Amino acid sequence: MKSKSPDRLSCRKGDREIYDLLKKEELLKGKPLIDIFMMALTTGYKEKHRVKLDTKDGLILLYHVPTKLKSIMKAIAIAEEEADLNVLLDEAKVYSIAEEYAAGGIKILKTKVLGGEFGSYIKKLESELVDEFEKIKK
Amino acid sequence: MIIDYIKLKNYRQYRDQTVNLGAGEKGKNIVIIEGRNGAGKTNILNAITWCLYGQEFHISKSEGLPIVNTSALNDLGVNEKTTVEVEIQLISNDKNKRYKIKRTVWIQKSEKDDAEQISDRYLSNQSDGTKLEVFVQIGKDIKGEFRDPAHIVQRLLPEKINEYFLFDGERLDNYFKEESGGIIKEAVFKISQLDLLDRMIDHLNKTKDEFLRSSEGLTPEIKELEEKKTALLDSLEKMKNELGKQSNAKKEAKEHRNEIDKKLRESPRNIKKLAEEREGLEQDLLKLESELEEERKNRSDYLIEMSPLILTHEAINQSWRIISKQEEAGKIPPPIAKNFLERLLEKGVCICGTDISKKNEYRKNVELFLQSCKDIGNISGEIIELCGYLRGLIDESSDFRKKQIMYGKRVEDLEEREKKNNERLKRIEEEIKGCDVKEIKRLEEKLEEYNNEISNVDQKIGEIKVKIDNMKDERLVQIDRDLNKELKKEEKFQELRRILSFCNSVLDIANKIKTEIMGEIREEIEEKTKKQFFDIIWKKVTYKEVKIDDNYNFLVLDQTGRKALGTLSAGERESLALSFMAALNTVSGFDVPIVIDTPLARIDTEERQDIARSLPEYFKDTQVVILVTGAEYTPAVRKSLSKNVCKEYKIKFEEYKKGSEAKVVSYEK
Repeated sequence: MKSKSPDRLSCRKGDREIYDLLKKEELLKGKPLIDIFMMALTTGYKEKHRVKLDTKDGLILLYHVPTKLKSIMKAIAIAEEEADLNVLLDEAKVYSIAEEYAAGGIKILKTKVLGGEFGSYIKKLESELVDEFEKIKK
Repeated sequence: MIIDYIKLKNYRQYRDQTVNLGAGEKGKNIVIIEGRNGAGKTNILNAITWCLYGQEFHISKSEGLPIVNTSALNDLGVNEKTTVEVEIQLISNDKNKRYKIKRTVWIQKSEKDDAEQISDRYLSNQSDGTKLEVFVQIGKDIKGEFRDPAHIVQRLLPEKINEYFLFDGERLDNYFKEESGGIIKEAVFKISQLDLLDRMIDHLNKTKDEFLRSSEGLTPEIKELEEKKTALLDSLEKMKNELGKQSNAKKEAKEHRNEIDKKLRESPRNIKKLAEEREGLEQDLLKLESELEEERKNRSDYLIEMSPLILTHEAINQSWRIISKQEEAGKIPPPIAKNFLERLLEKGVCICGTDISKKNEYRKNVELFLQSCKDIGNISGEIIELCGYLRGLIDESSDFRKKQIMYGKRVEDLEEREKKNNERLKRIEEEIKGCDVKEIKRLEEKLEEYNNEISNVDQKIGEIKVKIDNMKDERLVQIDRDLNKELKKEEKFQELRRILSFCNSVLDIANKIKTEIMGEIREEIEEKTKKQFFDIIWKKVTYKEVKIDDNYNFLVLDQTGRKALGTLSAGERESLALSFMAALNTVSGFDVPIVIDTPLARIDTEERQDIARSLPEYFKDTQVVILVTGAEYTPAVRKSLSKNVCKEYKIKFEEYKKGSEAKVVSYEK
């Protein structure tokens, strides 16, 4: 059954604090919340760690989310539904998948960003991205 | 001296006349020539002045008759010539010398019957075209043909004093009019014979003026130039002092510089440069850190931005391929949209116009077609749009490696520079380790200061030397040149000053002499006039004093000391005038005869007799020719004068058709 279209992206209650904490971090200082959300989403997606949101806390109004990022979320949803484009008819589902991966990734992200030495996250990220890019090329 | 005779030929009324005026026995010194008004009395006087000086002083200029006798003129034919001649013979008192003076003028009758004076170029010897001849007889010797006969006449009877011995009695009163000081002074001056002195004064004044004019431009500017020179020398001295000061300053600065240089030689070389380099490196490092931070941030921002694209690349790529395939298969967009068929069924009219509102075969076909349509078709536009974005993401991620390397390179470059700077800093620190860099830096700065000071002082010294050279070579030389020129002028100027001073001294003396002589003459004339006047007048008690004041005005004071000139009777005034004339005559020193025209014309009958009685007293031992009218020469007057008269003449005047003629005949005739 088609759900009602949401007007915002949400996180689990309690994860909001992680978002606020990461936002204060030197690396992410001044970045919009959607960037941190996208980092959490891709981390969760990469780690295949999808967590249902038992409780919801509104995080970002979709109105402020760039189409480019919405496109990534839609691509993830299509992939997640085994290449069924019909998922696109259900916006709530599309953003719900994104929220669940973000919920699964936020804690991992927190550990990666705050856990290592200063600058190590970026180095690791760079290395990961280069590896991933090399894979794509192949 | 007496006039022996006057010979007149064709002169005015006189056709051919000789009048003997020679003196008789002693005491008889008066000659009377009586004639009516217009008979020719005054022309006797004029004949004398014309003969002596070439001028008729007692003739009215408006008188139109020619000098030539009208009768003689009328006898001439047109263009015929004749002569007018006046000859006077003078005899000195000792009768030893005779002077014959003769003036001739040539007259030609014009076509209009007028007399025209012509000059005979062979005979005329005067500028007025007349001929003047002087013969001097001493004993039996007669001398003539003098080169300058006029000069001899002037020496005998000076023209300038002629009015004091050949005078019009009627004009005597002029001496006593108001403001007559000028006339009296002139008379005194002329009698004083100060011409020479006056000419000398005049000449000296002219000479002085000429010298003054020539001194223009000679006024020396020596003082000014000397002041300029002194000022210039002062300036030079100051410049030299300044040069000395600057040289000392340079010397001191050099000493300080050498001292510092010595100290610096003991320290590592270029320490200042090293310290400066260190400072520069430190500043560079700060800048590098900032740049590095920025570049690192750019790199991390890029990586964070790209991470969703790269890490979800598989999903993006898969979704893009699915959509693209459906697009290629023509499923997206679908040929007929599901919601379009729904709207047709809802309306009950097919696109072709067939009624499908009721359950019929046509509606069934549409419903079957609707069932084959998928919901996805309704968002095909969005899907196509999504496809486009996904393609963009794929393209964007394809540049990732290139950009990631670029950002990395930038960071690496900056890190490399930072590393090198740190290494250089370390080496510098090792080099200047143990040195008092601050002190050395201070010394090096001081050294530079002294070097700058020496350079500045050198520049100043150069400027001062140039100024000194300019002052010496140009200004001082110029001033010296000007000064020499002015000194030469000064010599001339001093010479002129001496000459002018001499002129002034001589002028002072000459003027003083002139004043003194005139004063003495005036006093003498005053004394003689007074004596004569009081000897003669009968009111000896009424008048007390006769004076000629400093302004040469006549003063007659009465017994109370009041001025009484205005109250003198005509006779008294005539007496005073005659006394003055006699005094002038005496004081002049010239032995000249007196000719007086109408002396008694303005005198009352009673006084006339008194004057006549005393007349001989005025000019004792002097020949006096008196020209009188019959009205003047009354029997009483004649009687009064009789014992002093040596000759008496009457002028007989006759008029003819051809003209008029006067003849001087003895009184008895």
